[in-house]
Amino acid sequence: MITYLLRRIGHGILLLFGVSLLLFFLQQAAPADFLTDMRLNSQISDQTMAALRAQYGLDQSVPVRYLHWVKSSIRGDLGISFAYNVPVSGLIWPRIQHTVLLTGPALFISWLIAVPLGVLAAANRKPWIDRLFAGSTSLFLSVPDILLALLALLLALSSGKFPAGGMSSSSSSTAIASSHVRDVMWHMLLPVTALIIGSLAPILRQVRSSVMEVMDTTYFRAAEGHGLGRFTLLFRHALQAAANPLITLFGTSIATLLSTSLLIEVIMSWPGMGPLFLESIQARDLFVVIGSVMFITVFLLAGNLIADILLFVFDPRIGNPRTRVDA
Amino acid sequence: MSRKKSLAKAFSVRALDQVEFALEAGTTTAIIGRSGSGKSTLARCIAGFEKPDTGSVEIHAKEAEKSSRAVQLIFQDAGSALNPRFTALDVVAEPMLISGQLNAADRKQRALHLMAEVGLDPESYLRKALEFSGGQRQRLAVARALAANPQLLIMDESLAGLDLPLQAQMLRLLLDLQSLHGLSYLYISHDLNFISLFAENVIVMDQGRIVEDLPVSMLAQSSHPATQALVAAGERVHAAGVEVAQ
Amino acid sequence: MDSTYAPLLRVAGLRVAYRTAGGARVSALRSLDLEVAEREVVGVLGASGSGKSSLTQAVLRMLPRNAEVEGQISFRRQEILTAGSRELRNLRGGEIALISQEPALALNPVLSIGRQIDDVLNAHRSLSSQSRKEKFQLMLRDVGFPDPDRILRAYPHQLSGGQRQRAAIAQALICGPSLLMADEPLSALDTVTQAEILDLLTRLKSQMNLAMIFITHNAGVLSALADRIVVLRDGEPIASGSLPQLRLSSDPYVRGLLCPQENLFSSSAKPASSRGAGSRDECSAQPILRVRNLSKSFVQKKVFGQSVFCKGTRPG
Repeated sequence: MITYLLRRIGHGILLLFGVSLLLFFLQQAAPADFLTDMRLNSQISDQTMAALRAQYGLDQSVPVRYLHWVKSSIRGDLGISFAYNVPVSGLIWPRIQHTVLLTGPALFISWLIAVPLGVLAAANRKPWIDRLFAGSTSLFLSVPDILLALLALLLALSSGKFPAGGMSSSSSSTAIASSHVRDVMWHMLLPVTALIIGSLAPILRQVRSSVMEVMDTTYFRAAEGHGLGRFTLLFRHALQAAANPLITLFGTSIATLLSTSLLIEVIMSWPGMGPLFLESIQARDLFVVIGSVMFITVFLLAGNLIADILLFVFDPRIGNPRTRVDA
Repeated sequence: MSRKKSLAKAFSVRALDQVEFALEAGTTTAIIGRSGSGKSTLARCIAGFEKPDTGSVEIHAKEAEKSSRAVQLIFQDAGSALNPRFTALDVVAEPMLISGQLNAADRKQRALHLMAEVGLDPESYLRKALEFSGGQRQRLAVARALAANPQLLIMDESLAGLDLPLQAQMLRLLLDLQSLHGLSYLYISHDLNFISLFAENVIVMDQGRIVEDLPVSMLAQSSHPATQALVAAGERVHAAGVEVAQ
Repeated sequence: MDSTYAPLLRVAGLRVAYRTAGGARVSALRSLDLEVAEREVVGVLGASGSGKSSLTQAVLRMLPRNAEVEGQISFRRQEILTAGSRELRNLRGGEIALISQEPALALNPVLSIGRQIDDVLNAHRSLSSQSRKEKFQLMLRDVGFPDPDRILRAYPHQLSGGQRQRAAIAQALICGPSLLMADEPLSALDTVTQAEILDLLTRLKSQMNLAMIFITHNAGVLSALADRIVVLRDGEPIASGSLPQLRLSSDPYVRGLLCPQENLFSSSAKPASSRGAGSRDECSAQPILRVRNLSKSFVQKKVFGQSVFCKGTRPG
């Protein structure tokens, strides 16, 4: 187990290197850099530009800059943001936390809703239920996330009951902790709901189809034949046997949720990774962009690793030796 | 034509351990043994589905038959290995399609003929494989193997589960093919009854090794413990010894 | 006939047909009548396709959705085909149990044996965990496991075919049903294991006062166990009686089912010893197959630091 984990972590590190390399070179390929806009300002002389360039290190060649970056990021220093003039890690870290504040609950709640519903849909195969299921999941699947976010915004603005964006009201940051928390949660409501609605459909479908497959197996029917109750049958026997594809889906749903969250954050002005990312790309804020992508990649890798570990835990056929039990 | 395979490394579970035997053309050898004794692994190695770690498998087939497959293996539970969406005709004609020898009309005729030979209604050739019962699918698998014109047919429990009249029909078919075309058979089974009427030689396997290689008539007199256990159990389960009232 | 006599299980006029995807109607059972008395073992002899599996599924009311059923099935005077779901659940596993052909398929691969047996016990009895433990120990020892604790913790893929079938039997009998239906329970096992399981079932039958419906295509098995045999062909019962009676049946098919010698010898098959060189080709001076010094071991890969056999290759 340990060797496997170490191997996966090693792969992950290689992947991170690859991603960072790619990013560096892509940025180079983009037709401008952070200082380009300044050239439009005729008051800034060429010498100043050159000096600025040297100061930011933008006059050196890309490989050199890359090596520099690698050396310092290993030490934890991801560089400085050109736009904000603060260390990148200090800029990103709180934003990551805010993103997790949205995606964490969304992940949890969407699975909490989708699994029982999917199991029930698999167990109650009537024509109207099947049609309702197929129709509603198709509907949800075809609504673009951006539309969901805009609809949420519209709801907030038109009803006036929900905050139209941001993470907290201006008054609450100085208020006492519990009401601040309540305020934040109130602001979280719409974005998290939008996230949940956007991610339900694929989970619902996968749960239903995996459980249906298990319900067709000999062992499930044998369990039925033993007179087991409906609940035990569905939620222990069927669900656990159907867990494999679901766990894999869980790993990838983390990725999907993250990317959807970036979009929703931008639209609803939630101070997470999304707006920062967008901003820094537009401003060619090199190190922030790279740092952001690195963080997100780490999350994805962690998600996949967790999925693998869960598989190992829940499926006794994986990793359990085939050696016969002599008894 | 001969095939030699060789070499590699060895690790833990010894499925086959220095197995040696020969099969004369036009004869039948049965392989018996407990589950886990290596019978199926041996069959797969001979048919080329597994690479042995050491040793060789030599097939000396007649040159004229080169274009068809010399060796066919009918797996255990071949009936459920059929593509359920294929029609019976698709299933049986597939080997002929692969070898590309006959045109469509001839293939169909041969397939229908083979279906009748294994006791299936040729009229049902358009039914999908999943609509046949388990025993019928088993026979479809046999028909398909025969369609490939093999010279050596390896059957891994292929006739298990068929009732006795059907087994008798299949036995007649196989014996006829053997005397007409010189087919050779390697038959893995538990059914000592059937083996006593079908095979000339019996190989007894235990834990990956061949422990006995004897003519079938000497099976009951064997003093080897593994063989004795199999014979004794066979008598209990297949009630071979009961005579019909004369 | 005693007016208070009621058979344990009575099947009357059972008809089962299936609607295939193409819309056709395939008949599996045509008008079957069957009675099983307490502690009686009825053997049902039939080849695959004779409708035997439909019988057990119908008794437990577990036919697939595309099945059409007519007739009556009653257990101790309780109608099964019209029973409510609560009564059905009580019957299934509690009074009537089923073991089938492939024990590997009948056990849930991701749950431990102990969990699966426990679920069955819990579905029908509420016992303290201590009494449950005792029951498991007893039952597993009864089916021949000297070390029940190891089996309780094991998963199906860690057991051999014979062990799985024993575990399946333990699971079926844990609640003490009165009727055990066994659908080809021996077919997937090798002969030595078959004999062992047959012995086990014979012993359990008298130990637990079980009535049985034993379905098989192999008459030899029934000679030791069955009180009465019903022969099924194409969905219809064509004969019934004791084994000696059936051996003297006037129907050649019935006789053929029961007497391998009569069947196979009477065919044009020559006994093996009399087959001569007529089938051999003078050209084949060398054998068609020669196996030399063949060895094969199965590689153990390490996944998560545990040993696993390569996917797709299984010793056997």
